[in-house]
Amino acid sequence: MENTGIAENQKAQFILKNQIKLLSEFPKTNAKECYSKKLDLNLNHKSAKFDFFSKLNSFFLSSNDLDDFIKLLQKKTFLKNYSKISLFIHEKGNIKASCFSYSNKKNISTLDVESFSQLFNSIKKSKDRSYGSIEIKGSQFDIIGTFLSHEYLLRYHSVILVIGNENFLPFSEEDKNIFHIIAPLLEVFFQVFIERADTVKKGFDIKEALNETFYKFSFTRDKKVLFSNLNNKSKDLVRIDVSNQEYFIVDFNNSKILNQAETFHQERVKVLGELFNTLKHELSNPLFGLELSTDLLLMGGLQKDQKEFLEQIKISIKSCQKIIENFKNLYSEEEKAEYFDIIELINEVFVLTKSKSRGLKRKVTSEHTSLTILSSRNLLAQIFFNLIINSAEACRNIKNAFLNIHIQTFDQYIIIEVSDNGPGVPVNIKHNIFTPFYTTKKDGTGLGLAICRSLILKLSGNLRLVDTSKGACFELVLPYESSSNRG
Amino acid sequence: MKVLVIEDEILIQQSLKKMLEIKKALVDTTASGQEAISLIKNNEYDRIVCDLMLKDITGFDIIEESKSIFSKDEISKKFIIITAYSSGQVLKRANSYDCILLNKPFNNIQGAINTIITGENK
Repeated sequence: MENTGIAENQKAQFILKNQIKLLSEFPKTNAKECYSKKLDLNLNHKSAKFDFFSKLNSFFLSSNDLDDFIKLLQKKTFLKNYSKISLFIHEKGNIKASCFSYSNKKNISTLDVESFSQLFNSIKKSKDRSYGSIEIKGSQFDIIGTFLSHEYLLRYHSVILVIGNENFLPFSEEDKNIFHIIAPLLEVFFQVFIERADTVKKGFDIKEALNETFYKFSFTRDKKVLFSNLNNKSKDLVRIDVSNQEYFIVDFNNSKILNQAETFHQERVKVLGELFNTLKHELSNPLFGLELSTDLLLMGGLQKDQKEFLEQIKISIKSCQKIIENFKNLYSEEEKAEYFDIIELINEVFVLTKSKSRGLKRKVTSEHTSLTILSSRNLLAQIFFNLIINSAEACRNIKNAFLNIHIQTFDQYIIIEVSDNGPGVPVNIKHNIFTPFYTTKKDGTGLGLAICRSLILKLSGNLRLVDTSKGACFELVLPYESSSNRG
Repeated sequence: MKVLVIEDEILIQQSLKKMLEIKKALVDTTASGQEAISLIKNNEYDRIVCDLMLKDITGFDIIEESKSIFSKDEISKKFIIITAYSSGQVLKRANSYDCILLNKPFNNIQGAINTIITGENK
């Protein structure tokens, strides 16, 4: 009991001394206050604590981050004899902890969670919370000599504060006592700084991620742009105004609409697919009967003109069968990748769009006569079907209308330009043409191009509108593997 | 060589009959599944060409019925399935009988006729 009394007394004296020193550094504190505080203190521990706290608070207010705060602490304001402050911070759930040491310069290193826990527990258990000569396992943390330490259990983090003097002289009793008062006070500041840093980092990560996304955003508060991932003046974006809101929820509107469009498309393909399957069966069986019987008749002895008639019938039957087969591509939900000739596919789609594109001269140009690619036949047929129909509708009243599909390969890509000499896409709607449910047609669903784009993205390709002086030009890019590279 | 053609599209049925007769086969035909079953039970066919989608029952039903008079091995050799529906499920079931399956329309008509005659799918 006696011993504690003496220690208590000594502690109080040290506090008082320091308090006076502290106050002298406090420019805003007037003499009267100093005096009253001095009296007040009267070895009053609680009051000393309060004063330390207000000092720390002023540090806090003038610091932007933990680094600034530590730098102020480092100015030996509280303790006489220390040269280095180290902070071990572990975010709960993380397998690594970080160590920040501040001496002449800042140093950052990491340690595994086991070493951290060991250190944390031994500090927690230690009676007077000063290690003196006890070493921290693993010298890579660069703590030489004696030190004082304190552990903190924050909301999301565990923190160990270590103050070292980098020599082997023990800390004075005075310093130890002051440390014991200050250390617990630091908790709230650490909590704020560490969580703030975390939030900043997470915000940074989110910004990075948003910058990379396909969707375009603009966050505004009171008409001021807070964040935007737009590189150009595209209007195809989600605008989010966060005025008067502490928190905001990012609603991926655009993707929702795109999903709706895709669902709509899938439903349509499904219904038409079922319809088409019935039709296919009902047509292909009798067609096959015609084919077989024509073949049978051709086997018999016939006159030349009779034979020619039958040959012609057979050709017609074959082309009917081919059309049925090709329609299957258009209304199939299957998306499997296969090798096929893209030029042949486009020619097949030309046949399927014939009635809709009467009067539109269509041709495929390429330095290749055939071009085998690995992609989804069905999805590409659907894309070309849409583009050709669009073009045909736009060119309906144009004389000498033509549609040209130019195919070229470039490195690992195949570039397909679908261009016509129609009226083109008006400047004011250019930015909206890929937006789902955006349409300028009377009976349009506004899905055609939105679906084309979403389908081509599925195929790891891209679709864009190319600026041209005349007509419209769409550019499709698909991955391409030349046959020599193919395994 | 005795062949039964079960097919409800008359042009296909009759054309196949004539083409097989050119190859010297004796051919019976029917469009009804039920009739096919009684024909199979009362005749000795070397080959049974069977469409899957009939008006009354399916070709698979006919094969199942035939199990009472044919061994598994006989079924795989006698039956030749012709179908316009070649979905995975249908293919799987057809394969379970281990018999030849020809898709309609035939890619090669004469080749298909030869397959019916020889029982070998080249």
